Amino acid sequence: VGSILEQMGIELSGTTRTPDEIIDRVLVKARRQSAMHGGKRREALERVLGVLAGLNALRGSADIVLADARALLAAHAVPLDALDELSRILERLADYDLPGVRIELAPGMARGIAYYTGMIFELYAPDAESPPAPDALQICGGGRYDSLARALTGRSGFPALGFAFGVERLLHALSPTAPVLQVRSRVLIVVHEPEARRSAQRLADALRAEGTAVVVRDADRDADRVCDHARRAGYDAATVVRAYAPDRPATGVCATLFREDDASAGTI
Amino acid sequence: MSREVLRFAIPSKGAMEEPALRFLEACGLRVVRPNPRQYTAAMGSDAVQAVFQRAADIPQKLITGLVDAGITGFDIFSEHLGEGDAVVVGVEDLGFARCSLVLAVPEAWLDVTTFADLADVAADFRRHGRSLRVATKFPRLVRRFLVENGLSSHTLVESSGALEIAPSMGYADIIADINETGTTLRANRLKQIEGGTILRSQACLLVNRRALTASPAKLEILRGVLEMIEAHQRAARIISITANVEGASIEEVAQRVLTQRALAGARGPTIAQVFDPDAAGRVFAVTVVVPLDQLAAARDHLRLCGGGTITVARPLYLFDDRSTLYAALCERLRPGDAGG
Repeated sequence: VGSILEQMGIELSGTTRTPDEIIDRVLVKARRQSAMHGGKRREALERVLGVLAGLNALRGSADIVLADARALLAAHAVPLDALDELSRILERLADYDLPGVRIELAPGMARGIAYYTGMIFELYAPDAESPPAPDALQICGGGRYDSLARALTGRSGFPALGFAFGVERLLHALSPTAPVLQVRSRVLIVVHEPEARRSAQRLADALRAEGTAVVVRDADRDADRVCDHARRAGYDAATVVRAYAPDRPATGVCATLFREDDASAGTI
Repeated sequence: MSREVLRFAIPSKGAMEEPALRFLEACGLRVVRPNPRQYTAAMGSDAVQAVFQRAADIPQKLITGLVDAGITGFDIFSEHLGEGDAVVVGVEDLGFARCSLVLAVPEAWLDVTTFADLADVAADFRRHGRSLRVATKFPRLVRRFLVENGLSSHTLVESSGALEIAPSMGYADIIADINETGTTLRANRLKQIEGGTILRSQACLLVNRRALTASPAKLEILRGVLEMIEAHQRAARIISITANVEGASIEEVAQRVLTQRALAGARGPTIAQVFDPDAAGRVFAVTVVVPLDQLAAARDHLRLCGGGTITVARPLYLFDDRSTLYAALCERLRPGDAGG
């Protein structure tokens, strides 16, 4: 190429880049352009933009949006894994049985932070419109960021989920007359199997109404070790909730309790 | 108490001096400078004192209050004063000294025709541990432009001499400089790139906020200057056409002319009787003032109305019932406004 250009009387020397550098990039650019004009890449790009624009247009009640998103992705042969995960999250959310809470899906939502790797969410005050007005009171926001720990520590293998509440916003949403509960104790509730989740949640609600701080989590270890773990983590009590089974003598809830002032753990 | 005088900076010793003086004269603000070594002169009236300064020094003179107002390039204003509020723009488009601040790369860079190419080359440089060096006299404007357009990996080489030779001398890779016609760039084997225009500029009138806010007398003198500039600029856009038309009466002629409302003057035609001793009927002089680009259409319309001889005159000034420039300046001078 260099000699052709020379024959054409095109001078490439006399600048801060060498003639080779310039020629190399001319070739790179030419290749890139011919790939673009080949049509395939542009077409693919436009297809992706089309799907994204379609998703962005969806917003509203979870069932409808999920169905529409499924149809849209299926029509473009996009794998549905992400929507399946979202369905599972919604099923779990339903188990919390939150009265007065409206759940909406907005596939086009963005939070302006680049570290999220999965679902993101925002909480608005109960009187917010749908979609929330630009000045609506967003009291919490968060999501999944599995690669954040690696970015910060250089160590991998820390899946993570987090959120932040705006304390002033929360107070504003709660109105100045809302009662402030004094936390008396901390209880860990472990859900033994998915069927027990509703019962666990009702127990948690009842305890919280009395001013007890409650953490509900899925079982990932043996019941005896739950006690050890809870004690070490500073809980005042821990309980494992199991689903009702006719062959078990106990009623629906089977709990393991311990207290700091009690030397031994007991079972109800 | 001595009478207040508005000190008005005029660019001197550069490309802007002559067009600035010509412009002011056309505005009825003639600057009489008896000898070129004299740095002050009367401008239009004794109430305005012209102070000759280099265009690049005028921002500093305005900030320090050595002058109350002045003319310089919008590029110079943006570089030195664009972010402060001590100096506000009085007239942003005086219509002369038009130029652009542009990026220029060596012609030999065949692969670089757009800003995206340049960003690509800068990225290549960075991979090889180099930084794209840009020689310029406008470091603030250039840095902001490059960063806003995603080319943050660069080094500015500040230089006040002839920038065009920097790439061939090797002390910069490319330049960002003022360009009027492109001739200087081509002579130095440089070329502009698509998306490489940093700023379009022309002469503008600047005002020292503090001086004009503090002195109603100076503001009143400046109003006079702005009125003249505005009247000159307005007059440049219109033309006055007079045709002699035969007809029965003023009303009858007016009716004919008004059939084309848009070509019959903003408030309608002015019609006066002409006393022609040789004419059989009555003759009327019809005058319409129309936008410059309507000259041909208005001429044809007046002919259709029976116009014989048609004379055309360019008005020197057009004064409206109030000065928009002055009203806008007062708005900008209000406290709390960032100006410009």
